[in-house]
Amino acid sequence: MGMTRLLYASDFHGSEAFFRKFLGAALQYKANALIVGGDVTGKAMIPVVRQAGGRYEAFLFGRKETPASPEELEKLKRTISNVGFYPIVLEPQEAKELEGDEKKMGLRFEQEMVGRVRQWMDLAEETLGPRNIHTYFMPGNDDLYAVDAAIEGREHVHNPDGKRFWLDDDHELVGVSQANMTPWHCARDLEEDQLAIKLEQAVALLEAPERAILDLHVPPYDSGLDVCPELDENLKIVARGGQVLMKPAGSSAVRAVIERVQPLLALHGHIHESPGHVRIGRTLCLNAGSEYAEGILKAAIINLERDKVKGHVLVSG
Amino acid sequence: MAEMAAPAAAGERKLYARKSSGLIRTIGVFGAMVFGVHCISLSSSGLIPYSWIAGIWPGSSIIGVLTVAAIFCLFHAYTYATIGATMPRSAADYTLASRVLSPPLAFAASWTLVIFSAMVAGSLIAWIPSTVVPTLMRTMGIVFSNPGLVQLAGWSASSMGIVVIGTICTLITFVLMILPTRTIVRILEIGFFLGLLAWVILYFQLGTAPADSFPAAWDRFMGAGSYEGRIALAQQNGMVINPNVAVMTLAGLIMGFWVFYGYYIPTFFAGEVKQAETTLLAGSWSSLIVTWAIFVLAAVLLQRLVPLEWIAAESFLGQTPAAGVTAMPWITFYAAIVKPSFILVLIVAIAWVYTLINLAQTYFFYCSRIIFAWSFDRLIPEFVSWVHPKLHSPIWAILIITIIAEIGVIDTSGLLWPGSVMGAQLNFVFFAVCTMFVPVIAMTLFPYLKKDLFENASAMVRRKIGKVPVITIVGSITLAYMTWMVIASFLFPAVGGGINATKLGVLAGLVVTGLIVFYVARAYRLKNEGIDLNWTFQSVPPV
Repeated sequence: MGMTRLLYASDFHGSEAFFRKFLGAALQYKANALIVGGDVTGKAMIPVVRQAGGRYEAFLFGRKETPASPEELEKLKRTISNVGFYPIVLEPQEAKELEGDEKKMGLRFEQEMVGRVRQWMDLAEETLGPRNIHTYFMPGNDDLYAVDAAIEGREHVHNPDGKRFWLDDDHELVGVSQANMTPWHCARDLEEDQLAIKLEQAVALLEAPERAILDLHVPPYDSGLDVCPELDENLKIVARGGQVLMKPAGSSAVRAVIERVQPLLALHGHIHESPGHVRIGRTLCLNAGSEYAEGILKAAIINLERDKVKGHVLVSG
Repeated sequence: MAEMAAPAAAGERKLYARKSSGLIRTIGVFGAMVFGVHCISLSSSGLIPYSWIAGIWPGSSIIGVLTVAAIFCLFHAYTYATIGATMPRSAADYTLASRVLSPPLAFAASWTLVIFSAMVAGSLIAWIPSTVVPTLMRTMGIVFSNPGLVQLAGWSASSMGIVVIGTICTLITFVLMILPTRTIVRILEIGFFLGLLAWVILYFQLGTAPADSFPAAWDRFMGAGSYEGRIALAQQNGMVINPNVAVMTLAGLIMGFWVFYGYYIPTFFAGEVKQAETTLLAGSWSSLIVTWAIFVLAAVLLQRLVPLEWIAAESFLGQTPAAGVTAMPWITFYAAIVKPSFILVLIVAIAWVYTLINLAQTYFFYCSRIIFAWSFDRLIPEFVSWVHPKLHSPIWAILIITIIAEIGVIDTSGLLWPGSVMGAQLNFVFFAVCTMFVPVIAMTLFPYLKKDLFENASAMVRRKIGKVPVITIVGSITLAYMTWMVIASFLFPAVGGGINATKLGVLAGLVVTGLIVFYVARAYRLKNEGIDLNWTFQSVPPV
């Protein structure tokens, strides 16, 4: 076979700009397949509340926005979506009801998250399907399980979480969306021993593990791809002498499975601050990083030959 | 179902966040300020106003010069904080400039900055044996009548002494920088408080001495009648007192970088700073203001004891070897003679050397971060960014910087070749500013060249006055300031040792080698890996 070019990114966290650039990059860099490494949903909703006189009011990054026309409202909604939040346009009474009912707010949030993922999958199918480019879109530990259903049902879009796919004649892909426990006890956080079981189940599906690609949301422990600021018990960054103290936050179970299986390539996300690459044995491990809130695409382009990674580069744009 | 955080308070509907949002509290201004203070250096920069500025601009108010200098540095700090806020990652300046303007030019500027900075680190380390140790040894030798210390001071400042002591200090810095990060930050933290302690001691010595005690104290240690004759001697050797506000302003415009350079260094590792848009600006401005306040207070206390003209004369004599006198234009010496105390002088001496090592450490640190950025972009071999599995330190990157720093030590010593070929220390501002033009131009034009990124940037980056982005206004002022500093480097050889063909050749050579490295790396990756490194820098249009 010839060469297969992969385009990989993760941790979109709902950023419309990031995802649309990801699809644009597939066309620009002539990728054969796209892989997404998880954490695709956003972290907050921004209420855009109608005021008197046809105006609206919202706050974005501490700044008050007051769109006064439908065009300005649409522009604000796009800006909010581009940085990963969900704009919800509300009447004052609706906002009050939502704020008074945590369960209702949670359901609304889930609705927004699933809705955006569904729109993205439709866009990927529409943009890349005609070119026979497949997208392997995996959620991550920060994503509710409800999101999984939104990924299903399209010919060129797949969810590799716990499943095996052939990217081409020589390379299989399996994914694991879960992560080791974080201070926030996210939707798909597991203890290391439970994560190890998930990983073993995934790699057991492989026919040729030495040529496989693992899409594992969380990076291997102490790999350099998992370094993030240390937090104290109040979730405050620990700093000394003007320096933020950094510590590894990856998974030892992930590290163990990579060391044992030695696949061709392991793709990770989860730790936005640690983009880069490292080799664990013969396996090239990559973390593309994330700057979703700035609407910047951060991705990796990887050229694969049958038995080796021919080349790779991290891109941003 | 998503578990939500408590709804926003009534009347303040800003955000409905998920409980597992990963949102964390940010580092405070204090933490960000400490690194900036280290980079400015309470020791080396702390000597400059009284031992150098006073003599180059006799009669100019030291406080006025420092204030003008700090004001213009605030604009530069704003520009670099915005660079870090726009591209919050390692080597934010190179990353921004490569994406906005020109990848090869941005890399060449970054390459030049790293090599030059490593050389400067070496020349700063060389300052320990060439200036700091002799000053402290002479101080202790004179104050405590120990001729042996005075002799040691002479050897320390010799070419051999600079190389021997400088090499030892370079190796110490290397070892300190390959230790685990926690240990490094502890070392820096101790240095910050040690540096402050040294200045408190100086304040105590200067502030509690009787207002009329200085002349007698000077004569006691430097010889009877020495104090009275200083101004006349300086004037005989060419000093002209000129208390002119315009001259003072000019001095401030030129001396800003000499005194305060370093406040913006955290931009080079913006990827490790949370909420870069506020932390970088608050950190750089506060480190500027804190060091300004420290140096101004010292000037006030010093001038309580000694007239400005006399300080200028001693500083002038320190820069005029032809005068044939032993000049001691050091604030540490002034403080020591009015309040001689072995323990206080010893603490100040230790603090001075310790914080100079800290200063070199910060240079090593940011250079290693920039090299990391090049490695991410695959412009340099992978092994350079290899991280030791136990020490978690990029040993090779730091070793490369150490070797260049050692060349800086040798260059400064004049042992193997005459003078200072690169003039890393003396032409410091010229080289530093030249490397900054590419990223500052990129930032100034960013709102127009990368409209989509600008619109999605943080509120700080997107600020406008009317229709004009603030960063374009501030960036333009910064560019004008930088241009003046380049011109001043030619017009005022006393400030920077003169720019000659050799030094221009060194600068050009560094830029050209940077360009060569870029194009060779690109050709290699394209041929062997099918990867075009230009992809790293390209914009991607969204579908």
